[in-house]
Amino acid sequence: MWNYFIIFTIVAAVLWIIGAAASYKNSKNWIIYGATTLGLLVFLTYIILMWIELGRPPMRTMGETRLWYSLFLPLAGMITYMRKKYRWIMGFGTILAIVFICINIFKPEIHSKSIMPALQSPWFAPHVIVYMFAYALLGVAALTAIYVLWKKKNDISGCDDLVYLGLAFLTVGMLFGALWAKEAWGTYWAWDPKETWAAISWFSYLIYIHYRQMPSSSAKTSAVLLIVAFVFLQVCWWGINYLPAAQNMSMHTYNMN
Amino acid sequence: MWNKPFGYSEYNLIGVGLIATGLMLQFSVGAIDWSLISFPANIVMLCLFIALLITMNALKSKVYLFRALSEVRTAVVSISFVAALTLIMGLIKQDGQQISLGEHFSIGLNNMLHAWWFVLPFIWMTICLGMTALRRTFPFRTKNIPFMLNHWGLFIALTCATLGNADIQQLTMQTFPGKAEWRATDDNGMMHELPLAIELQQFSIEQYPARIMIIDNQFGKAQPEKKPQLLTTEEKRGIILDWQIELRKYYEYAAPVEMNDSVKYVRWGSSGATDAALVTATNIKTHMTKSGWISCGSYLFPFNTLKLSNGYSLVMAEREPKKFSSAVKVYTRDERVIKDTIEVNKPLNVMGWKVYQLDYEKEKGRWSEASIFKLVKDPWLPSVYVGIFMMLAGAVCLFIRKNDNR
Repeated sequence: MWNYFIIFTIVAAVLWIIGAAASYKNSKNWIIYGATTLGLLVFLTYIILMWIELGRPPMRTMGETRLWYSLFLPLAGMITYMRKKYRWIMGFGTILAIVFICINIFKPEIHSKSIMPALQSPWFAPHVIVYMFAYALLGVAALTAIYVLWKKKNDISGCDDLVYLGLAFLTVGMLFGALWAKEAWGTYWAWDPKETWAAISWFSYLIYIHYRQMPSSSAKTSAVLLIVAFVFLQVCWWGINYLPAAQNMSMHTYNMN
Repeated sequence: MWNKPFGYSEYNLIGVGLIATGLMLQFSVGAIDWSLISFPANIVMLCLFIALLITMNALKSKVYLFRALSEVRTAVVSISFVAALTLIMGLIKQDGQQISLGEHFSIGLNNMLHAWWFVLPFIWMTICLGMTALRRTFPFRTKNIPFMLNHWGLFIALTCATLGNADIQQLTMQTFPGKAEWRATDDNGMMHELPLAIELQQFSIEQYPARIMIIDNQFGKAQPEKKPQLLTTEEKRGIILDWQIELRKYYEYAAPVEMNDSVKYVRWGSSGATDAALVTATNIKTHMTKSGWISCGSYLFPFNTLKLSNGYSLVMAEREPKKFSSAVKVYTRDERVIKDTIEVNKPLNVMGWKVYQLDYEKEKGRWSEASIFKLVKDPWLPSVYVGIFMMLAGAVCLFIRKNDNR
């Protein structure tokens, strides 16, 4: 199935680029949403076909989780555009999705079909999908924060909705993980390095949300908070595989063995 | 300083003060021994904690310090302290050792869950959380329900998980077919007798097909190194590197027979049998052909490889487990007999215990007779779950949030 990856992604990427360009030029809505949605469907078809071929959810390896990320970024971009009408947001989402697609083409990190018994659970799919969607939303929020810093804007309220939504998904992903962990190995929270970093990133977004409640909050500090929180989220997602403190410790580093 | 309302500097000072207090406690009384707050001490502490919150809430109009606990600025600072301390924990390897009071007087960077300076700011944050939740609960307003779910949910989950931790019993039990076992050991190797007995009927294991690969002779890495290629025994032929590989015979259960200077495999079905395949590899470029048996080996027989060149060998990798499960009979003290199958992700609930499939005799692989279970009893779990489900409901409310909480 990986051999067909490039065909599906080129079609999807072209459609996303059309959608993003249309949104940048304020073209007709049906072009913007039509092209992007079609691209999403093409990409989703690929994921579903791969799911069928593997006989398990394609979520185990880094390469496979990147697939979901590439799917959700343009989707998060489109949702943000619907609500906030930032002309550049869909372009950014598309560029990021293409970056992740390129990583998958050049460093696929694909593995055999086997999946260890601990991962064979009905919790597996919702846990990962919800997390990937949270990552995508918070990724878009981090991009917006960089834009705010870059242009020295004084208003970051556009990020609030993204963060609330992203945090909601992050919370659900984390709690699903806790419920699953209880069923799989008997403890809902064990301060395993992955869990510790999940807590760090979750707290960081809580800081942002509470900080934004203060009348004196500044756009600059808020933007910095969002960027730092997103860095922590990256450590949680893949950085942990390289972190000395987490070597041979985490039950979550499946893709490394 | 200390003018009302408090600013960041006052709150930061409170946080630093808590860490300093924690450090002093750490060096004077030693690291925290969580086992001390087992039942009934934890129930007493919970009642005192709730009483403290209610009292502070009642006095908040008179005492600014109590009122300040539910200010959003306190939330920002206390969460920041907690996040920063958790960050330290994420950067330093934790050893997860159990500690008894008066044993460890060091700073405890490798065991932060037992360190006062880590726990005190967490308690501070939890108090702020409780005070904030109280403030938004009374007077009750329907539009505050999402807020209450999020805050009470986290408060309940945090408090109950922490206070209930010492009541969690985790035991390991090794079982053999046909023998009822009612004893299990804890992490310290202490034997415990249980109100139930488990008799293993049968342990069974399903494996993924064996995989054939080429490794380099020097480091044993699967080739090509960046994108290893595999051939499963379900496929008959394939190409790895420059070698066309053909699977001529495959026995799932086999034993080696020594020939003059080579090894041959024959069908053999007893415990210890290994996977073996007769393969022919032809180099596409040089047309050189190599033939021979390869095997992944078992606890009884060594593995066998086929040397292709000075650089590479053809090998069969050990089969990975797909599923392992134990058919069991459980006898309870009230004379019930439960028949069930326990497998990974499918624990058995019996008399307040959850029985998990933990392990088997790994060195014996698919021939393992023993099955190892983990038994967990967590009397506080229902209350933690109440917190978790409240947070889930709160998260759903965040999806449909309206911009009215300013």
